[in-house]
Amino acid sequence: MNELGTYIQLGFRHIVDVEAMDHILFLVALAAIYRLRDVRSALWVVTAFTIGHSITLALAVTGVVRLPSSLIEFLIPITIVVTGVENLVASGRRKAARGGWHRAVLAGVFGLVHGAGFANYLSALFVTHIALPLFGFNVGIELGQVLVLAAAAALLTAIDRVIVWSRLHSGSWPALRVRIVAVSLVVVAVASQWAIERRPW
Amino acid sequence: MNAARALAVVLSVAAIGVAPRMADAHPLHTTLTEVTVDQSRHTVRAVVRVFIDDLSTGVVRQHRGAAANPTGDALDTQATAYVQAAFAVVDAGGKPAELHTCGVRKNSELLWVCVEATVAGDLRAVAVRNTVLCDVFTDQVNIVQVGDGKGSRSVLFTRGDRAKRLF
Repeated sequence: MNELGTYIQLGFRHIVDVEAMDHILFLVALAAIYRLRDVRSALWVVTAFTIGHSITLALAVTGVVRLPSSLIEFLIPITIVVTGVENLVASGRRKAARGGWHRAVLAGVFGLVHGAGFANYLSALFVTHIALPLFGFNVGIELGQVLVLAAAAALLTAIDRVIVWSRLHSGSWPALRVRIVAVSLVVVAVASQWAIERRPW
Repeated sequence: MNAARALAVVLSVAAIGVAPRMADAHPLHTTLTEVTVDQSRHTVRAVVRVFIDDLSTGVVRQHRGAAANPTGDALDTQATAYVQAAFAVVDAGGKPAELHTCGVRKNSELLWVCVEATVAGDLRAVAVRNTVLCDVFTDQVNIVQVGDGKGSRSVLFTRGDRAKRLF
């Protein structure tokens, strides 16, 4: 295999691995408020996340910034908790805030944190000739994200069907709101526990 | 609507029960090995870069928990023994070559472990197997890079992989 392919595969494996639940859960949290018809808004948010983690990945790996691993590993679940809480707040609005810039900005800022998480490992391992591994790893991460988001969309659609089938929704609690609340509560519960266990103090 | 709220609460409680098992941070479990093939000396040299904390876990597990977390010279010795057991250079006939140490270097959070083998026959038919830490981490990925003067090639190893040709 050529070198680029190797690093693409490394990045892809890192995201789709079930051990990578923190990154997967963050993507699920981001996707939780969208329906299939909101794909354009969702793509903006995911693109902002991608730009965010690409920036810190490049800065940290090239040595421009050096971020303590323990702090980053603590901040990653915090980003998931905040995204889940933001979902809960948005779900209560008459028209859930699926569009607008604030969510893309939030995803971009949180992407900075997640990128730093990847970067600490890459910068230690590749002391020279970092450009190709960095680029390939990032491409692999993006491909992995596409796969995770497609799986998340299928899962959320299935949850919607269960909600409608079991008549858990009502006039004031439409199916989408029930789904957002249920998924976001689970996300917040899991990520809060991670944050407590990874606290650096 | 009470049913929906009850569902969310039940799911959250279940999630709290599952979360501790997934609470570890998610590092990249990766090693990087640079292989140099010296045609004139008929040697294959491999320098394995491995995170010290990961390797310590592997060494302790190799000794079935009987060894304490090694440090200093003990770490160098045990790390070399661990790499010699998990890394193999296989000649054209499929026979593993004997590995000798060519030094250990510490660099920040990494250990660079050097091993070398003398191989008879065609060096372009040489294969390597790198299962370093594959017995410890299910997501372990070992990158082996080899340069042949014109460029470099990479081979990936994960749990269960056998020896792979370098050229």
